[in-house]
Amino acid sequence: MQTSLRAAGLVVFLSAMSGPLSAQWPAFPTPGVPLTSDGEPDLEGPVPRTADGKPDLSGIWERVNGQRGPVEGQLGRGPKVSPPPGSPPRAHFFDIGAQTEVPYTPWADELTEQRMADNARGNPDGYCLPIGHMLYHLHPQPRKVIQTPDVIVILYESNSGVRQIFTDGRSLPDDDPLPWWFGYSVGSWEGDTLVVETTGFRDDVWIDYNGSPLTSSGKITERFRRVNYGTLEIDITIEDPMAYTEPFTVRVNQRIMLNTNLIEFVCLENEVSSQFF
Amino acid sequence: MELATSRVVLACIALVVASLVTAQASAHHSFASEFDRDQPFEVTGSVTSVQWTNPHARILIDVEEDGEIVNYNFELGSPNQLMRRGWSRKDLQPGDRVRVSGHRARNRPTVGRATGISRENGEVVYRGVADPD
Repeated sequence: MQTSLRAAGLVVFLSAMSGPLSAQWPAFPTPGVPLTSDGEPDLEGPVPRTADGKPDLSGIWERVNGQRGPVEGQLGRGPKVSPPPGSPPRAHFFDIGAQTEVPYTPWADELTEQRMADNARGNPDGYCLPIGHMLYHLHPQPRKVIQTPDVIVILYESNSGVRQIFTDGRSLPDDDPLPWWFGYSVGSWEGDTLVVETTGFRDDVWIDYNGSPLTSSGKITERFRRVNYGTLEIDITIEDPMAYTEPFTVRVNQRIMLNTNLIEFVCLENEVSSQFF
Repeated sequence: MELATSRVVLACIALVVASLVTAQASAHHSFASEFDRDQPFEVTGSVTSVQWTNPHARILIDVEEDGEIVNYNFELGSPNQLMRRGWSRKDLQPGDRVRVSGHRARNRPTVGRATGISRENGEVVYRGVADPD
């Protein structure tokens, strides 16, 4: 009986989605979703695990923006908002310091102010370029995590981003690597938490849309934890002696997206804005 | 049986809601660089073309102003964003009469970022946000 009801629900769901979307990018049910006794997706259900017993971070995830204090317009640093109880400060797409005082160096503080005054003219997203870890984590377009034993790949719908996190035991390169848009990432498990370290950044990374910088001196440490089936917590520590007087940590929350896909997004297809910035 | 019926009702409601496209978020962030939130404006005219392309779909509209036809170019969200909210590239056709509200580009008076599109009968086709996040 439950099976027939679930099948009926699936048929109705696909029928409801079939009109405008079917000819463009069909919905397809996500396999293996835990269900409640009512047959609904149990987003607080157990974390799936890989064959080797690790939490499986695979899935399509959407960002949950941190709460930000009011600002006039789009850019700016508003009054700080208290983080949720028991949570580190949560980053906002526009302001990584929405819920915390960011320890800018004078150089970084002045650069951020200049970028805001210039209406974020140089932000990489406006030029369809890779937007860096923080902006990818908080971008409104979804991302897909594909976990294998030796590498975790994150496909970002935004600007066709592809990030590799090597989990095969290798170390970060120490031989003055080329500066990368995505840096070089290695990950290892501490219990059920994936700890990822990344270095080798370019000098012009933006870590929020206001323009807070990250340079080639920077290091990002991320701690990924799948809290339950539908929730991913990412605690991100930013270190960069050029830009920040001390390391600081913010959190990004993401939630699972079901029955969907990443959709092709070729940003340069008809990008006609940047010539007028 | 009652559970299956309620699912049908919920699915129908979802379909109706999805037909009213509300763009809550945007790809390709360029609003602050390109548009002026202190210059809201509105025009009424006829669709001349729909560009269903990334990073932003665009609607071109002929508007009669002081006896002359002026072509306006409005930017919307990305096709991905619009499709996820139930909109098709065929929902607006050349010749459709629409009213468009938006924010003007900083240095191009006939270019805007749309915040709302409605038909002459008042049907709201598209609703965006002034400061897309």
